[in-house]
Amino acid sequence: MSVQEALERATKIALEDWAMMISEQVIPEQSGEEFHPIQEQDVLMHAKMPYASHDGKHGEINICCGKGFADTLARNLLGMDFSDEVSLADALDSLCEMTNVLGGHFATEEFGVDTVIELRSPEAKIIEDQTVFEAAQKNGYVMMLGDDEPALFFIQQS
Amino acid sequence: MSYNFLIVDDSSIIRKVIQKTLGLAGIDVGSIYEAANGREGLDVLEKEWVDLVFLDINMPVMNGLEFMEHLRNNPQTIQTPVVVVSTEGSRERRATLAEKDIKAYLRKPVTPEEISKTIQQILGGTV
Repeated sequence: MSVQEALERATKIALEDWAMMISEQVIPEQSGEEFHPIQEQDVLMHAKMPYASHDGKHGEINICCGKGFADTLARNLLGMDFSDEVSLADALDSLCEMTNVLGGHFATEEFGVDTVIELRSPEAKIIEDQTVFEAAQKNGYVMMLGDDEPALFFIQQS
Repeated sequence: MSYNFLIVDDSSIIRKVIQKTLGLAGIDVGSIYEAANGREGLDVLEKEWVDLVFLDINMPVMNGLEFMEHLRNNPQTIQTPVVVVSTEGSRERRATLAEKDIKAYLRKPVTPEEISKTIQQILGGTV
């Protein structure tokens, strides 16, 4: 299975089975404008989690989204109403946990159950620069709508 | 009869989700203690009686495997039931966990129904 296929399958599990979101893959219409739905968000967030196997496979799981996606994720996980205010800490922590779930399932899809993959602690923060989109473009990505909120998922293998 | 639970997970969101699930499952909950890593979890167990531990594996300071090592080497906690809730999918890691006498392994994403059923099996269907 290719990295792209493994990422797509793991993303679907993380969004639908874990985050209880209705998901839809976004297929960009025009090259160069792929990331506009996320870039135009007021607040951008980026979560990442390094992974490594005992036999030398390593890389990093990445999720980039607007605060709207992270808020929706936190509301779904915590059973909050749509109108409830989500704290920044809960939004970032939800994104970290989604990265963890995504990483665990990506590892199984990509490397199989006979390879032990060590997942490091995920980190999430608000970002202001656009370098994350360059990394996504370079490595290949999956862009999805989760409950109508866009999010970008990609793997940096090293 | 009410039951005390300890949730050891570095994600506050997951701790809240498990707490919420325990409430929804119709279980008679006494106290729910929280710990952000294995070390904090052991500190709780030194002071409080806990009927069941929910445990993550990948955590800073002290991970779930190290926590289990300490737990099983202490006569007071040697029989405390532990349910692992993790994203780990590898066969080897699961085998390592089984050797440490965990009662159940739940792989995320986990549903409230799975948690409820697991607790009922472990605590003897008396919840």
